[in-house]
Amino acid sequence: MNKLENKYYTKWLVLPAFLLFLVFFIIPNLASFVMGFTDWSLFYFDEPRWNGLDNFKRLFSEKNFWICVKNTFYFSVVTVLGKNILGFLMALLVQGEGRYKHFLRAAFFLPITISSLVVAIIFVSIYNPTNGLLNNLLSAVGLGKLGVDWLHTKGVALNAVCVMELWQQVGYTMCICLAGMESVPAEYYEASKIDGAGYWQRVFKVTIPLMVQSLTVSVMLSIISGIKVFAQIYGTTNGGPADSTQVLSTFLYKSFGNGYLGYSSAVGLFMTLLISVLTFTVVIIMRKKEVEM
Amino acid sequence: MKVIKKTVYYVTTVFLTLVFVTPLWMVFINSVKEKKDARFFALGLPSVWRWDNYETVIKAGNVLRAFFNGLIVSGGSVLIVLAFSSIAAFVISRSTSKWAKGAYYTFLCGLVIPVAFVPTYLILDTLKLFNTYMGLILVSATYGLPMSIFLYTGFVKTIPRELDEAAFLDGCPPLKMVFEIIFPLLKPITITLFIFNFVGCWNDIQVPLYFSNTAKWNLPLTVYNFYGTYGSSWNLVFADIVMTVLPLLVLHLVCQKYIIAGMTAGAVKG
Repeated sequence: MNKLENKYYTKWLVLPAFLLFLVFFIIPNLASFVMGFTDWSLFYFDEPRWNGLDNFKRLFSEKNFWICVKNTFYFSVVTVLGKNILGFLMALLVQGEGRYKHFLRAAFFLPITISSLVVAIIFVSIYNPTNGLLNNLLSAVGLGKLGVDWLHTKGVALNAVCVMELWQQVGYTMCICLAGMESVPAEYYEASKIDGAGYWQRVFKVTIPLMVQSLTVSVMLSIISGIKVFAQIYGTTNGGPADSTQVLSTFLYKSFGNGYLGYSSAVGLFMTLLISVLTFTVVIIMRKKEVEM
Repeated sequence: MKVIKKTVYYVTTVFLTLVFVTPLWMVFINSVKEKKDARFFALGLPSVWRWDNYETVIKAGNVLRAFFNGLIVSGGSVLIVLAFSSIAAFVISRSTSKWAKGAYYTFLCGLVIPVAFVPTYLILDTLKLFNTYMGLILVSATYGLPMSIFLYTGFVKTIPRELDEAAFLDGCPPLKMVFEIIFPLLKPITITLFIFNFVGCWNDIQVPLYFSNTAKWNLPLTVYNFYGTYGSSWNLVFADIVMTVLPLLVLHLVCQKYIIAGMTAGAVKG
């Protein structure tokens, strides 16, 4: 054992990956802890000074920042629920064998291939108030009155972006759910059928409890991507109208673009803490619900 | 009763298929229309097929340069990720020592903790790597490491240890052993990770946006830029989108099996 440990399982083989990770991930993350407490900016590049909690005081007193926090949460909650509920239902629809089901999987999965920024541009055209696909469809079925300028109306714009995100990403959660469903042994279904359980009873009493692990992963991934949301906003509304759809990532990019290195590090730090706390809480809660097979 | 159920099933699934496919059809069919027709975003066939829209976009939109930027950065970073993470995962999965476990959890943190863009920018600047292919490749490779090490580690566990012992008795040197004996056995997961990392990097916009200037941008960003300039010529914007999306769409349809396997491997093994 030891001879193998010395010859093959050496630190040297981990080193290249670790070095890369150290320089471009660990050090930057540690550095943001330091930078977040300085007034470093591109204008006084050579003389950063400690300013204690000033960045955070300034951040927490900015009205826009709280709009960003609220929007980020709203976007995350809506998309996490939507992606997982719809993804799960869609997985039920395409579960099993057969050409038609394989075709459906491929179709639902298509949008994931596309960069979020490109999807954003496509949806700018779909949400176009005068000729867009959505408003045309609404008038075609006699609901023309419901049509609005989806991306430029306060209170509507963020929901429109949520729907776009669902359109693109729901295929992903569907795939994860599908894999979870397929890992449930067939005997369990047979047994519950013999016991006279109906379809939905089987779904709730057999399928879901036995695939909690997959749901944990898909919920976790969607929380992370929800809080990190950037391209979807940047490409559609760019925070507008009147900053009403600004999220944390676009806020960070904006303050970075303005040259405030210390201040934008503080925003990044806040996001890191938020994501870590939320993900670990969710994982702990859902791990408790997992059933051993 | 059964007939009703069947009808409901087909109506629902056909409706859903339309929801996912119609926008893509709309993009394609309007990309070959006249400018004055494309702005209606209609789904019908064009009166005149304007394939030359594509030519116009290739000339005006820097499509070729952005294509090669994406190819260089995605290709380069994928090669680094696969080489580095396979050897690291081999040791992490086999070794019983504490540092191996520590390294594993350190890499896993990268799955959750977001990237610190601002300090990374300063590091690239200090290393004179800002706005260089090398800088973009190294940063993209770094962001691909956690997922790749995670999946490789799980896969290496399925390869019997006896192979290592046999190689040891034959006096095979470490790197030769990993690359010539273990790596070929990792082929399925390697294909998955290749696609996963390549597509991720190809579509990513934050790395080029933070760490380079327009000359090094990839296709999605140039499409956005193009849309900013030619926003009223939707036929051209759509043609640009088709060219950006098509390579990946084809890749996905051909390799769907591997992609789904990779995306869900982590989910089931946990």
